[in-house]
Amino acid sequence: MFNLEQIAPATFKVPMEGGMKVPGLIIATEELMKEIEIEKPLEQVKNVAHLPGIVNYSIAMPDIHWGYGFPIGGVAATSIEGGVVSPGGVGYDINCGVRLATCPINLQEISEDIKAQLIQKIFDLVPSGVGRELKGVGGLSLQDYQNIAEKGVAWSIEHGYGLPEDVEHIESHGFIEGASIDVVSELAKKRGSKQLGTIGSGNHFLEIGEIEHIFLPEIAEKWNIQKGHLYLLVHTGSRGFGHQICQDTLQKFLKAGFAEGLPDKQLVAAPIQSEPGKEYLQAMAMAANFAFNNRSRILQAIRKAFKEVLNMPEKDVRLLYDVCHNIAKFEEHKVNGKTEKLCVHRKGATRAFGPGAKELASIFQQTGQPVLVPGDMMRSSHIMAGMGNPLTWSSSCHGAGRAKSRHESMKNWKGTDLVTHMRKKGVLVLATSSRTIAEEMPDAYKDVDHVVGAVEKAGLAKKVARLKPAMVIKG
Amino acid sequence: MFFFLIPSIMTLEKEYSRVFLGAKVIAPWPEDLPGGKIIQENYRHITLVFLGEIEKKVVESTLRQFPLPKFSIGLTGQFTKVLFLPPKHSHVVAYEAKFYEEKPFLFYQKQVMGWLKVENIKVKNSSRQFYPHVTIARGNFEKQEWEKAFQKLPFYMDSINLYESLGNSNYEVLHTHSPFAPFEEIQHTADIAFIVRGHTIQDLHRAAETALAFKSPGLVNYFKEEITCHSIDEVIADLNEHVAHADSEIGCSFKAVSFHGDLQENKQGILEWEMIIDV
Repeated sequence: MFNLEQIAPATFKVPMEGGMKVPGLIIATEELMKEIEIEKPLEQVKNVAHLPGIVNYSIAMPDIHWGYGFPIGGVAATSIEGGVVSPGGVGYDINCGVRLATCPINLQEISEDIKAQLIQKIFDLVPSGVGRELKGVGGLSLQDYQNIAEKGVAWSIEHGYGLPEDVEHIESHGFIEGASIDVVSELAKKRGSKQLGTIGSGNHFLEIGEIEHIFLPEIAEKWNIQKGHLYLLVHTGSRGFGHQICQDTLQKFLKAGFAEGLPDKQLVAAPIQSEPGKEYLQAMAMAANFAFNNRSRILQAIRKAFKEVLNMPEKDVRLLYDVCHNIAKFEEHKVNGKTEKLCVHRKGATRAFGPGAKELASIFQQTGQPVLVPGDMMRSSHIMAGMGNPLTWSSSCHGAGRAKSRHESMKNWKGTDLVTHMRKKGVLVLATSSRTIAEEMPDAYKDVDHVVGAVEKAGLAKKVARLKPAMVIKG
Repeated sequence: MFFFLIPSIMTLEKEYSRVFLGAKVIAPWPEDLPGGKIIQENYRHITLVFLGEIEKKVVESTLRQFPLPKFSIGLTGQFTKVLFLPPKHSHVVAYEAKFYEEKPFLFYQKQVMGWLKVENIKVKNSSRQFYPHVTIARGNFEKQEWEKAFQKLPFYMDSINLYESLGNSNYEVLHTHSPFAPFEEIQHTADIAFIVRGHTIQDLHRAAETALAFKSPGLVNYFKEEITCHSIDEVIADLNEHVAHADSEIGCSFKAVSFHGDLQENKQGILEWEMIIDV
C-alpha cells in the first residue's frame, strides 16, 4: 500500500522520492492504515522530509491526520548546525499537552449526586469555552510574563497555583529554557493576558473517570495507580498566546522567503542558528512556559473543587505527569553511533523517554516516563510507559486522532440531545456550547485502543493502564 | 344565485397566485429569538418586488422567465440593525440588510422593475423606495426585547426566487436561480475548512471573512470597510488580525486561518481558495 516497506513490527518505511532528504517512517498496523485516510497525511510526511538538516526520518505516529505543514502526529529532528526550526512542526497551540492526576478514592464510591456537584464545581472554577476567562482576576502584567519566562511553572507554584512536589512530575520540570517576552508581540500578550487558567474550546477538555484496567502492575504500583481509583485528565495548551506567536512567526518567516524550495509554505522554517530562528525558539519557549502555568492553575482549581465537594486534601490529588505534545526541544540522541544535540519537533506527538533517561525524575528513571494518551470522551484513554525507542527519537502518539471532520460530526449528530445521549452511555458531559459536544462526539475519533496497540507493537511505549471516562467538561 | 357564485370563487382560486420575487438569504441565525410569529429560517428573504395576485398563466409563461442578475456569486453583507415596520403600529420585525457591494443588488432590483414594466405586469407601490431588509417575525412582539437581543450578523444571498405566498408566512418557491455560493464548508479532518469564491482578491477576502463570521458572528464587529489586500497571504494575515483582536476581547471559536491553499480558477473563471481554520 502506497509503496510502503515494513521494516519492523508496526513500522513502515516511506521510500525517498523527489526532493526528500530522508525517507519517511510510519508507525501503524496494517489494520489501522485501512481505517485512516492516509493519502494526504502521507504526502505531508514526504513534504517534511524536504526540510534542510532533517536527520534519519520524517516520522508519523499511528494517530496521524492532516495538519498544517506537518501532519498531526508528526516527528522530525533537525541538526543544530545547518538544520531548521519550523513553527509548522510545533503547531499553532504551542505546548498543547496533557496532565494526569490520580486520587486515592474509588470512583464508584462517589454517589451520582456528588459526582454532579463535583463536575459543576469544576465547571464553575475552571473557565472553558469561547471567551470565558477567570472572573475577578486582572490581566497578566509585563512582569508576570517575565516571571513566566524566567521561572516556568515555578511561578504559579510560588503563588499557590500548584504544589511544589508537582515539579518533578512535569516534562522538563515545567520550564523550557531560553524564553523571552521581548520577542513576543503586543497582540500575543493581549491575547494571553486573561487566558491563564482556562481550558479554551475545540478539542480541549477536562476528564474525570476510573482506572479501569492495569496492564503492568509493577509500574502501576510505582506510579501509585490503582484499579478503580479516580483519575483526572486536563488537555489544553498556551491558548491565544501561543497561537499568536505561531501566526506572527509564520508571517515573518514567509516574508523573509524561508518557504522557498519547500513543497508547502506552511512548512516554512528558519535556520536554527539564524536570528529569526533564535527569536522563534525564544518565543516558543515563552508559550511553552505559559502552557505549563496554564495546566498548573487548572489542576489547582480542580484540587480546590475536590476539597470543597469531597473534603479531599490537596496533596491527595497527585499529579502523575504533564506532557507536551506540540513542541520543538533540544535533546541529545545517538546519530550513527555518536551522541548529537538535535532539535526534535513533536507535533501531536509525545516524548516517550525510556528507563534511565537523564532528564527524568528518579521514579521515572526506573520505569520510563508516563506517556498520556487521551482517547475520546466515551471509550477509553491510556497511560503508557515510554521505551525510549531511538527510531522515533523517543516519541510516541498523543491521542486517538480524528477520523471525521468537525463538519461531518456536526451533521451526524444534529438534532440529538447529546448530553442525554452521553449520560445514557455513562458519561456526564458539561459544555458551554452544544456545538462543541457534537463536533467532539466519540465516533469523530479513531479507537484509541488500536492506536496504543500499534505504539506498543512498534516498541515506542507500553500500556500501563486503561482509563474509562465518566465526567467530561468541554469548551 | 348561490348556485352560480360558488364556481366563480373556485375559478378565482385556481387562476391567481399571490407572488413576489425575492432573494433568499443565509445567515448564522440565532437559535433563540424574542417573541412574535417567527418566520422559518428557510423562508427568510429580501423582497425584490411584491406583485400580489397574478394570473397563474402569467406566472407560468412570463414570471418564471425573470431576468438573471449579472453577479455570478451570491453577494455578502451584514444585518446591521433591527427594524420595526411600519414605524407606526409596527407588526413586522425585520433586519436591515447592508450588502458590502450594494450597487449590483440595487441595479438588479431596478433591472427587474424595468423588465416587469416591459412585460406589462403592474407592481403595487412601485414608487416606494427599495429598502433591503429581511422579515424575521410578525404579530405581537416586544420591541425592547428584540433591540436587546439583536447582534450584527453576516449573511449571503443564496438564490433569487419567484415565491408564491401561501398565507400564514408560508411560501413556495416556484422558480429559482442560484449563483455560486461565496463559500462552502467542506469535509476536512483538520478542524474547519471552506472553499471560498470570488472574482478578485477583495471578493475572496469578503467571502472568507463572512465564512469566518458564520462560525463566530461577533467577528463582524472587527471587519474593515476597506480592503487593501493584494495576495492570499495578505488576506490570511488580515483575517488573522480580526481573529486575534476578537479572541482577546470577546473570544472566538477558532484561533487562526492557516497559511494554506493556492488560488485555483474553476471552469466558470471564478477564483477558488481552500481556507483551513485552526480551532
